[in-house]
Amino acid sequence: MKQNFKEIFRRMKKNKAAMIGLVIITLIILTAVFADFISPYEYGIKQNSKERLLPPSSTHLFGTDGNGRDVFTRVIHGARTSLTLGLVTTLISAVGGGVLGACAGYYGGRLDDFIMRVLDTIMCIPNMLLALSIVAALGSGIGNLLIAITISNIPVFARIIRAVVLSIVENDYIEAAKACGTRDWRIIHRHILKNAMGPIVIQATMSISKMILLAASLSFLGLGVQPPAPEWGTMLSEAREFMRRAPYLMIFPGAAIVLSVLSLNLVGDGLRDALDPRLKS
Amino acid sequence: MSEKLLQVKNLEIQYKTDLETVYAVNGISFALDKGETLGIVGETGAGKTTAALSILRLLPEKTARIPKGEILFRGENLLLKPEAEMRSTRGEQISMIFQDPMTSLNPILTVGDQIFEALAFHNDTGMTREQMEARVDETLELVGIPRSRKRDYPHQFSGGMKQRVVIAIALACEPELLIADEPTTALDVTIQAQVLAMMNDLKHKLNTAMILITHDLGIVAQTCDHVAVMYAGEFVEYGSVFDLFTADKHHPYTDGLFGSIPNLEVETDRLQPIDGLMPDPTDLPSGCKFSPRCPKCMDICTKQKPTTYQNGTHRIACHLYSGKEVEEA
Amino acid sequence: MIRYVLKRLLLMIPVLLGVAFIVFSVMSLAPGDPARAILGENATQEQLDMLNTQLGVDQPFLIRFGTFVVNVVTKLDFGLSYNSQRPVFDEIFTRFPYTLRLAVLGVIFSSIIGISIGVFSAIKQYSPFDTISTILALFFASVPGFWFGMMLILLFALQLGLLPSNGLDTVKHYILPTLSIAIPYSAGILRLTRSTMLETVRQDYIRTAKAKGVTEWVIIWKHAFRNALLPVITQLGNVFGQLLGGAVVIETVFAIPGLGSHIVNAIRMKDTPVVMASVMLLAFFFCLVILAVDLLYAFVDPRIKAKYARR
Repeated sequence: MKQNFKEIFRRMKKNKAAMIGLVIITLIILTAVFADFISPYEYGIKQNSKERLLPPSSTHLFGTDGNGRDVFTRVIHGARTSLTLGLVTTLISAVGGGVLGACAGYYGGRLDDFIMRVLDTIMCIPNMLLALSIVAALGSGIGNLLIAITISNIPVFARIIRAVVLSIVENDYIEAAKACGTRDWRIIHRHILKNAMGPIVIQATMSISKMILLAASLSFLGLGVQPPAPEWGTMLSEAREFMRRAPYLMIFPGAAIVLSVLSLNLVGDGLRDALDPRLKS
Repeated sequence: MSEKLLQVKNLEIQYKTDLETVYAVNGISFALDKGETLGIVGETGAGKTTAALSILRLLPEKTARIPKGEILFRGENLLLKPEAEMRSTRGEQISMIFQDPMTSLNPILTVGDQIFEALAFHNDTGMTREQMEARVDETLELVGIPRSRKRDYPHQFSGGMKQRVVIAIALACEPELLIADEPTTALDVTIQAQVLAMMNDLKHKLNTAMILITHDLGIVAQTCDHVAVMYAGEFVEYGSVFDLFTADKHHPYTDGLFGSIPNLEVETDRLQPIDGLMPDPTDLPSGCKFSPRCPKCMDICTKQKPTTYQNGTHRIACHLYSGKEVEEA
Repeated sequence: MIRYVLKRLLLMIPVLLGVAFIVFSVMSLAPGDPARAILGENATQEQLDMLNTQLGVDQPFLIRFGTFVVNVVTKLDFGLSYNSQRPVFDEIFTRFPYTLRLAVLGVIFSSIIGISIGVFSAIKQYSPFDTISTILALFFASVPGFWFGMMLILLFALQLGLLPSNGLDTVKHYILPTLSIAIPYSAGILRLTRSTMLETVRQDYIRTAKAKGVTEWVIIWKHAFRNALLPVITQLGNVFGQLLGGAVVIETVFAIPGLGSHIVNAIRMKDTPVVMASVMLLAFFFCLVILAVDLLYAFVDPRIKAKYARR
């Protein structure tokens, strides 16, 4: 498996777009991790009524917002919020979806029918709407936002993993392992998860970017991360008020979303091509 | 000497990508008369399909290069024809049957439509729609498919039937030359025989010349007038079917091919496969390209390209017989 | 074929029930007291208890769901809005057409843009046109629709003053919202069309068509395009679903009085019945679209058509 990763990385290195994406996302992650050291002003929630709506300048790179806070600082701290949200929700939904999908595929029969029926029904509700209704039931706030977008993301993972499991379970070596009396969870762990890694990694990369977009949309509607916490969607929602007077307020948080989503998509595309050279066009 | 229908002279074809150059065909020459059948045999990857596609100019435009050679069809060099003229040659004068009937038909068009299209694009005589539809019916029945199935889609046909449809498309305009690229490889053995018999029959009926690409020597014996044995983009041996099956001198590769099929008359414990693999076409051995696998390899073979030994119609490119051209010619 | 359509329509019933059940369960997690929400802070405990009994709040969950379904099916009764005290259905029904129009316009324009540019990109693979459209598609696939909408407002409404930025009164009003939905989604369609088209032109039957002497134009449009379209059609159903979700946000950006902005307001007001009914209505609609796409697919692809014709 290790060799496999090396091989995949070697193939990815040839893909310029994917490498650009990888560099950008690494930079964004570093920014998020070291946000406190990079940002010129202290954690960007302190208000300063004297410095409201200053246009970008050398002291305030991205200008200041309606409350006199440094936008550059807030964008940088926003990276932390958005990336964490994207990563955590993807991780939980991958594990949750993975368990459901693996069980459905491995045990088959009624359990499979039941799980897939439920997931199919959930998928009939568009992601955004499902997340909205969960937020509506639980109330807004970062924790509930996390739950909402995680749940809406579980069916996708479950389906992918089920498909992988189904294709593997048919193989003779699984029969052999079963015949030897290997425990179920061990078979799932040793044989199936390893084979499913590729599709999961691709889906996870794509999912992080989708989750960032979804979280930003909900926050933009005022139903996700609540002000004054710095989050890109929330910042855009606040910026709307000053659209006429301070259009730059809208540009930077939006650009930050585009940049992180774009770089993740590039990496995802690159991974897909590297894992399955056949599909490369 | 009357003008040959098809003459291929010194044809070379390469595939060039950023990373490497594949030497697919390396100087082959042959000629074909009306109604004649040439068999080209060889392993997968010998360049047979590439050579065939080049006659129709269907090689992938982005990578394929033809640095040398001529393909003369009725005296005209096809390689120099403008694309529009070439298009009217395709399907009308030269047709091709592809290897896999399962994927060779468009899944969302009826078989009737697909045959009709061949006629519609070569409608020089100004047939009406009804006349062309009637021709579609005729052609279908020619290949043994009832005309009632005209409105059916490819997925409703079995493999053998699909190949009949493919043949019907190729023969719809009664071409002078038919190129069949392993037409029966993908079919069951019993169906293979049927399809081959039908092709033979039609060939005689329509007096079509044919290039039959195959790796089945049995098929060659049944259908061909001449045979070329292809290895790594070259014809290592060329001759009439009679030459190939009865002459006592052969290229070691041809011997190898014969050694790897069962023979009813000679008792052997096991078949004699040819050792090794086809050379990498991006990095062909110098000298004789078969030398790394040749059981009779000599010093000279790895250094110098073999000359051609000729005996009547029989040509062999091998050092074993060099110097004997004069005495036997 | 008609039997197949009927069968599929019948199979919709459990799906719709399932969707209703999920939304209903989620919404019943909402804390709070419906009677309190309706009657307000000043109501007495007696009044509250009476209304709660009347609403069936104290009934077991499944009974409540059953009553809800029966009311919806027989009377189109989704309950009363906590906020306006009016029947929810009346409220959402007047708003639904706006959302629907926006989503349909979005699907139409995103498929026209995505499919046509995707096909030309594939035909002219590696050309400057292809490179530029591929890069733009990558970019727009990463742009949040609501931000793109705000940028459009900034440019066309505020800076240039060419187009209105609020509401949906005239045809002009539709331009910016439609664009901000259609362009980001067209990016995904473009990428899919391009790759399936590239995949299709490599198929054996395209070579057969070439060997027949068919012209390039016919090969592209009759042979390749029609086959490449099949996976794109399947995808369009999903795009429509995402688009319905996207419309919710776009409506807020452009202050359009549709179902989406209504949901957002209802969530802020904690008006659970309105949220539930709106989400359900949109989800039902999405299910119908998926069904329509499936039927369309069966109609276009003879392989599937034949499979069902025999049944």
